[in-house]
Amino acid sequence: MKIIKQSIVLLIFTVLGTLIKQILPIPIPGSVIGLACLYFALDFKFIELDDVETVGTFLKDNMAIMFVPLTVAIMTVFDTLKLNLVQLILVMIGSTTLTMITVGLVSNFLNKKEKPL
Amino acid sequence: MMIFFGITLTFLSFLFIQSINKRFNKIKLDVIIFPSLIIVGILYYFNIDFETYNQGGHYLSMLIQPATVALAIPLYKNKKIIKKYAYTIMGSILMGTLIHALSIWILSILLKLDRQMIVTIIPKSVTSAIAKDLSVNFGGIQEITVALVIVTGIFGSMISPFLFKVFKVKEKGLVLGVGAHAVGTSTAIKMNEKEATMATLGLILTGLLTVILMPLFVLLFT
Repeated sequence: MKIIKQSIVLLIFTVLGTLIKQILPIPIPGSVIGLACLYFALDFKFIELDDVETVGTFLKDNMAIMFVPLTVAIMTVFDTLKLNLVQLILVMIGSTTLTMITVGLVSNFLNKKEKPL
Repeated sequence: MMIFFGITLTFLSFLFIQSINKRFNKIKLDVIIFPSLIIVGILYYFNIDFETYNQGGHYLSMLIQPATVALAIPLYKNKKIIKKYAYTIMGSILMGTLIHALSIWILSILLKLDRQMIVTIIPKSVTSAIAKDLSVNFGGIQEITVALVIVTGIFGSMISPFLFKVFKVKEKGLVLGVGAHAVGTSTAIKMNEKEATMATLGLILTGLLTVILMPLFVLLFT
């Protein structure tokens, strides 16, 4: 029962997010809006952790496998990718690495300053 | 029937890679890219088209939505951490998003990629749902953006242990969330609650910031 109840609560917030997305002028995905709604619902005690935690934790802990079909889907666009394949890979590697180094260094720096708080 | 084919094939490939990782301590195969390669191999070998596989596969993709909603749980449970690190989080994400767009622009020019390609690539560090919309809105090629999003997430997760060691990174979750979106977040979830929280924040805020700054990037870089 608990599992079913928790699944329903999570699905309600997912649908709620998708509905709100339709009336917003900027492209924010429904799932992120649903996330925000669930956060505030928990924060304002509309719902308890006990209403979502078991199923929610199961879903978030198993996210990796959900990305597999999307990765397989790359095979369907390979013909389009092929035209600029080497450049795209180089830009991807370069920008991702640089971004992660930046975030790492900036957070190390700011973290040090924030410690006295 | 085909619904079960796609789901079972995905589960089996995933379990296969996980059991290899478990048996050999030294090997850590990525649990997204390697199962996907097995599946692509099987589909090619038996001449099965992607649509047949995806009849089942897309149910797994659909679960990303409620799973993303569920990320509110670690955020709520770690409210205190968010308040404590507010400046670190904000500053790092802002710098990360700017450097990301800037490096794409410079690299694209060096490699002679055109304007449309730059617009296609810039949304790649945000989660695929946002990236797809952004790319389309500004005249990019949606399919390439989505493929790049996935590859970025996997690549970012794969190089993260190395970067953490070399640059002595403390906020590992944050780096994963900003640099490798939801795939990075799924990696951070395996570390601990704090890194999961920071990754989720990185994921959400990078997404929002990219949505807000995208018009500016397009104006400046194309």
